[in-house]
Amino acid sequence: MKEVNKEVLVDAASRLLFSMEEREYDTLLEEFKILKIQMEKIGKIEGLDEYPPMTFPFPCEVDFLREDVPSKPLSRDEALRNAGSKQDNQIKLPKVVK
Amino acid sequence: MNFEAIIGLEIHVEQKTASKMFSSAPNSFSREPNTQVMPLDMAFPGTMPTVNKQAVINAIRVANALHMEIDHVLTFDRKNYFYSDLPKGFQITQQFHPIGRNGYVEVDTSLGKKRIGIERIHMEEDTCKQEHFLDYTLLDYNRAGVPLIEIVSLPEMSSGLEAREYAEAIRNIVVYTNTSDGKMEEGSLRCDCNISIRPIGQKEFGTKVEVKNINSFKNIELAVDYEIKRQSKLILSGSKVEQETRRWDESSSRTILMRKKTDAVDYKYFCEPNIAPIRLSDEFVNHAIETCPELYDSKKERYLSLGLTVSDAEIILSSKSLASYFESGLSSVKNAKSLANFLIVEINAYLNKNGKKIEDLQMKCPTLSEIVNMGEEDKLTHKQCVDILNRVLETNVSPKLAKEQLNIVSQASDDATILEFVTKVLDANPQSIIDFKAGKDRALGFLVGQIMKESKGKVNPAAASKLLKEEIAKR
Repeated sequence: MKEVNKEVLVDAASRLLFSMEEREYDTLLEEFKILKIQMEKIGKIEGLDEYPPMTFPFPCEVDFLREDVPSKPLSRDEALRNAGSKQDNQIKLPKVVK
Repeated sequence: MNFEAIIGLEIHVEQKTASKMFSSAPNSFSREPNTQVMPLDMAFPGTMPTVNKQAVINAIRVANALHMEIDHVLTFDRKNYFYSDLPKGFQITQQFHPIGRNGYVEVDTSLGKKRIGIERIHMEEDTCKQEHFLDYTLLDYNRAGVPLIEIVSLPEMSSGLEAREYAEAIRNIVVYTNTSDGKMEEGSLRCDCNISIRPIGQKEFGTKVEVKNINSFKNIELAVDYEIKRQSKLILSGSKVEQETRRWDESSSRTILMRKKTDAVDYKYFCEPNIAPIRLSDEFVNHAIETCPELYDSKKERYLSLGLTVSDAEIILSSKSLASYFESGLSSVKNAKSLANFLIVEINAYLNKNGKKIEDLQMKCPTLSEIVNMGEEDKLTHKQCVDILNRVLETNVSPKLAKEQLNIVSQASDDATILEFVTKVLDANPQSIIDFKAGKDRALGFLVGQIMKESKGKVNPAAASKLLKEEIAKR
């Protein structure tokens, strides 16, 4: 497994367009240390490699599909309540063209 | 050096369901911004996705129309990327288990029918709509979560025309399965073209260029052909084709660089944990297929069997509304070809002149069938039928009443009645007889015209022409 160090975190933050402070990198590195210890503990369980990665705790299938009936949507005020900046009833943000 | 082009298309189809793919927000086009959203569409915490049944039915129908293997277990995956059009930070899609695999569609080419393979189709959700200004961007979440079907072809097309015909065939399928409006101009069908060229005989593919922002079927053809020429020129001048994304610029009719692709983006796909695998029963899948509306190709074949030309059938089928209108008159009309002619020529002319759509037409197609039948049964001229049609369109009276109001009488086809007019006209126009005998065919047209005038249109012109020739020969 690739070692999670400061360089890896700076690269990840850059790719995700996050600006992070030094103390946030320190906190993250501490958290990854704990995660690593936990993973090592799990890794000691016998026969683990024989299991494929899991998404669900046990195999399950359902047959539920939602009927195509629209509900009353949020009011616009409600929908935009958390927006930091608005203009023309839309969320406004600095231009970022991919 | 001669090159061959290798073209593959990725088409995103916006489904016209009543609600969104994973939320029950209304799926409506052209509404006020941010009025068609539920908490899930804006990624509010604690919201959970539920899969839209109709969107699944539509995908099954499209997969079946494309001759695909249908996966009876639906699973979804997260495609992770950080961008402002995606509030959750990931798009729910079907990366690992698409609903349809290994299909094909047939298109008409100059060398006959060509089968183009389709690798996969999968369901996913649309992103929000962004409007970019000089130094800011505005977000409208109405489109976020609209159900999409992505259709990925194999790289098996070799010209702009083929790419266009493939896209049109896909459009016909999604429109006639009632899955989508299929309107490229409105964004309900969006097409990205992957184009590369290689020297003829070479096995390896050349460097692929992706062209986006194509907003019409015609522009697919133009963009692909432009790109083939651009890449050929580059190679012939000793340069290399670079892997990049370009966009089609309609005003200058060329592709323009958007960005270079340095390395493949890692979307860190993983299975969507908030949607458990969904088992589709055989009954469910079969019912979706059995209840699918009649497909374009089947309708076209049926129209041809009714006597329509390929061109007539394609004109009618180019608009689903026009085809529905035509269908509604078929059961009562005696001559489907005549009905098609009236629809394509007269009704279209009326709609264009009045700026109306076929949906706006008060006169229903069974009434048009009645006029067509009346024309055949009462032996009316085409012009008489058109006069009746226009009266019906303008005043909404019945065809029978329109005929009475216009004093239209049936044409005489019996020889005795026609002969009276023929004799009278020939007696009055001896010079025309001489002219016709001298080889001037126009003289016959003049004489027929005189008979029509004399009879006030009551005489069948074909019968009059035949009798005229016989009588002239006797003189």
